[in-house]
Amino acid sequence: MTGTQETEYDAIVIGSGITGGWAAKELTEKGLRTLMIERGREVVHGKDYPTEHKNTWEMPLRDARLAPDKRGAEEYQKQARTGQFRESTKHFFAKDTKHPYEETKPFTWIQGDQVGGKSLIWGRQVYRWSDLDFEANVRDGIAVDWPIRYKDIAPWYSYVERHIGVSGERLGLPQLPDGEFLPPMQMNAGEKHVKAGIERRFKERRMTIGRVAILTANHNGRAACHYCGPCVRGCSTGSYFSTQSSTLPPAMATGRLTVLPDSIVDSLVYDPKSHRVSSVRVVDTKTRATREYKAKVVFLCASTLGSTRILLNSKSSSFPSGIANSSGVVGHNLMDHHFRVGASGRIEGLADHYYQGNRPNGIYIPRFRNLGDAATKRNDFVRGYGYQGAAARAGWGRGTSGPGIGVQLKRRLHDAGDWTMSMTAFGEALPRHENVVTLSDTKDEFGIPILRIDCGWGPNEMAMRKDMRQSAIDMLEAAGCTNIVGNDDYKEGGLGAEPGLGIHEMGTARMGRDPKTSAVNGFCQAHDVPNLFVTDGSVMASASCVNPSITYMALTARAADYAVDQLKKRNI
Amino acid sequence: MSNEHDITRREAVARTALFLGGTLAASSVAGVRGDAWVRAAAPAWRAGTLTAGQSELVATIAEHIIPATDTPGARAAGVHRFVDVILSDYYKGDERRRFLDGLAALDARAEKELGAPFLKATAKQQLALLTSMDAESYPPQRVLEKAEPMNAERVRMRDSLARPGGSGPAVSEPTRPSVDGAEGEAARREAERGWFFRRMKELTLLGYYTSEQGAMAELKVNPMGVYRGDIPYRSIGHSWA
Repeated sequence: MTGTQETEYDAIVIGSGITGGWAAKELTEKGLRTLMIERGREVVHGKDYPTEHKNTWEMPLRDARLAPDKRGAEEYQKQARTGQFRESTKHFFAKDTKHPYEETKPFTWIQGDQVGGKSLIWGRQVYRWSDLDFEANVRDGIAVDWPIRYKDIAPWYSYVERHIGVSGERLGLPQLPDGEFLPPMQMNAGEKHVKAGIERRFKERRMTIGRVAILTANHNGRAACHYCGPCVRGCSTGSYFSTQSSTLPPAMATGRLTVLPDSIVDSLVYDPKSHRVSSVRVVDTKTRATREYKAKVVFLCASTLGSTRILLNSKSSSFPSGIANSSGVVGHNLMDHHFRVGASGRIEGLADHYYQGNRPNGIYIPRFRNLGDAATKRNDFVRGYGYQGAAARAGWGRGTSGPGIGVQLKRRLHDAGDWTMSMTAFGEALPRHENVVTLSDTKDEFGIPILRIDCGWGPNEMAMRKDMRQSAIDMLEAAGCTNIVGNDDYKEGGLGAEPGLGIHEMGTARMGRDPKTSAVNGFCQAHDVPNLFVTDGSVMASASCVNPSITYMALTARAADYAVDQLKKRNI
Repeated sequence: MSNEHDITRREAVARTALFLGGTLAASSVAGVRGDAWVRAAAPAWRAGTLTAGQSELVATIAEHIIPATDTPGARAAGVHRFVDVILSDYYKGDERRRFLDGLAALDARAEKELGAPFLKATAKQQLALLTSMDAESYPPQRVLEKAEPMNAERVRMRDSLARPGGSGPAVSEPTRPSVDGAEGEAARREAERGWFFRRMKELTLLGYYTSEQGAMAELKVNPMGVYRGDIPYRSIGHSWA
């Protein structure tokens, strides 16, 4: 897999994460000899999941979270801001010393640095967007209209779901279209209790089990989930979607894919005569040697900010501010989902109920604000939010919250504790021109300028957060919970719920109909450069409030189909 | 490359067959113990931070907090070794010093109140002193939360909810808001008094219930295999580790 002498291919895919894997699968299956370039190290499915199924006592720190102030986090000061960064997962995060960035305001950029990218550690929650999302900008008069609608992408959602396997419950809600689902995972007793309370009180609100790219039945040669719990350590049975489990195998099976790890892209070289990307300039991260690879078509799938950095750094006399950036929008309109606001409360009366197995999923409460009718319209903010959460019984950890030692404490902690329901909202953030990334004067160790990120939440997000907190409290009250505590971790100018932490960064090379105000068209094709496609989160013109990854996958598959068609028609 | 991948898939299928066989505890699948565990359990184990006296002090305190009953206690679970790993490989200088100072202060208090260093006092005296410290160390929850929002129970609770994937990489976890103003300062001082004992108890519970003894003899690790969302509590009869 490592290295290649060949420098000419039909297609080049930059990045090997969620979208890079999809681009490689689609392009190779359609007959293109494809080079996939990945800046990070190789990770072989199964073999390179060193902490999978490890017991806590097999880890010296017992799988501690490696917070920024702890030993072990020295080289990962930004990555350590997420609770995902722990003893068992550290090896799937980029070192901030190796891949640094600057932030003018707190912005947490979580980065992968391996084959598979963040597909190994993603949240696996998948929700289709609806026309409520695709029409949002034009309805509100914000940013640019999406050049596509739900009908354009719906068949591609189905195509992706059938391949990756998505478990979930059909609800028939217009704002959260159903997909091609494997059987849903079960709710526990606490969640069923809260669901009943919420749905009794609020007719427009529903609670469902999370829709996840985790198999609840054997599927396409991959095994059903065995409920060990922490997917993010890697899954050798391939039970959740990752590049390694789902897109790399069929791509490799074609015999047309070459994977080039440890190779960071410096820039795309533009040929003004043909108006095409003529080659991709790459630095070997081990030897620092530079090399150029050529292809008829280039798919940029290096993650939103990774791809944006490459675009901005691909300067030429034709594109002094970066390739495919005649509009000047590249780098602007950075979005994320704002979250870490919600509530938790105690559920009474379920002492005789428990659960077994480690369900890698929680509940979901679909958006119920601003659905286009008078009843759900808010005057204090536009767009909406949904909740993720779970109920659980307290374990031994509750022994640390008050006095008590000795035999009595040990006996008390032998039993499961109270049930708690906890929910956190994920809200849509608006695209705003002033939320921008630019190239810094500082370069990384490979000689490539690093990004300077200047991004903050705006008044709409702040107004929405108040409602996100209060509605969570209202729903827990409706469910009869006690000891209800609302929370909002946002702190102005500080860490807690800063942008980026949602790890749904998007929007910095948006799609649109007009080349003057957008970077790519509805097929993710750069307006300015016909053989360049950008298919990760950077093309999003708005953020919706649902997790974005399956939309990236569907857009990528659709773009690959279009690109190959254009190649055949000799338009590229 | 495609050959390599085929081998991986065959391995994966073999492992899957194992999982499909039924409900297996994580430990029986993992089989081999990690090096770190072997090191920590080996007779030749040497502390990285604690002196022999400090190590014995920690082991004795921990055993009072979680004593042996019909199942092993904190000492047998090697909590003192875990504490040493945390002090050596996890805490930075300030936090480590603060803990060691707390240990010394406890000994000084034993000297003053019991007329002997802690380890020289009788077990009954030791327990009485620790019981007093325990009672003094938990101011009202609102004070603690203001001064020390990283309360381990909250972290673990939110962790256990979030880690299984409810909110994915976008995991929610309490962060430490800065405590401002005079009210914060007062809360900080009030909370300061019990800091060492609370931390010692947290490390004891953490070290014990994540050890093989605590997680498999006293409790049981929630097994992989199937997920059953709603079962009678009495069919399990204990908390998952």
